[in-house]
Amino acid sequence: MSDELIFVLAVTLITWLGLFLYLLRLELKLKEAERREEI
Amino acid sequence: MFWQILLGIWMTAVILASFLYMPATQGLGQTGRIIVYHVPAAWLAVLAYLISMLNAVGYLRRGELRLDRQARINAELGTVFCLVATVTGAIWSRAAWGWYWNWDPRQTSIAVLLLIYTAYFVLRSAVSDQARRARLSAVYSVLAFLTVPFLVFVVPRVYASLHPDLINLEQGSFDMDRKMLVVFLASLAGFTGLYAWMYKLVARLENLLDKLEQQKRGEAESER
Repeated sequence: MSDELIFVLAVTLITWLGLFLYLLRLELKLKEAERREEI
Repeated sequence: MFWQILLGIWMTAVILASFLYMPATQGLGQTGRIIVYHVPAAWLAVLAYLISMLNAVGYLRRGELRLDRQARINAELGTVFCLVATVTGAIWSRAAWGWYWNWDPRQTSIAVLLLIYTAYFVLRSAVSDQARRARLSAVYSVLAFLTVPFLVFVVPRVYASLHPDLINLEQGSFDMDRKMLVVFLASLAGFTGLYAWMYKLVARLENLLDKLEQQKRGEAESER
């Protein structure tokens, strides 16, 4: 596997994990806000 | 939370498989790997625009503002995925054809599609009355979707295009290596899950904002 391909793989993985963690954080914050709304 | 974590693991596995398991495409070389991201994004754009149109039809029949909101959220997500498809396509085009933008029928039709849906948001922002905005944008959404099958499926096949075609129309099959097909279908499923998650998040967020707005209005009225 060439260095260039490893670089593209790393960038793709980092982009995905960044998006995933951002969505997960949003999910947790929303859950917390919805729970407060119920109270 | 379980299925979101599962989606995270699933997509990470898809990304790794698209580089480590999937072979390079015949004729396209390493750049062919982009198919795992580019095609699902385009597929989701079409799916989201379709759902947006169905919600718009629902609004025109029943007049529920909830359906107008669903139509808007889907149009937004459709545009996000359409942009992802355009950008990934342009990156591939740079590697395969020498430059990011070549006005190939595929590129031209996706640019027209983006302009059509940008106009949808311009229309929405130009009308302040809620009911009028919902009615006008529902009609526009139906008209906008009528162009989608032509721009995505017909135009690039009618005019000579350099864009590779996944579907072999003569044999009615996928022109793909078996390993590649597995990764591609897994990516399609993962992207669809991602879309469902994003849709749910935006819808819940807007519901909460609505409630907050109503609460503020109620408090202001009680102060008077």
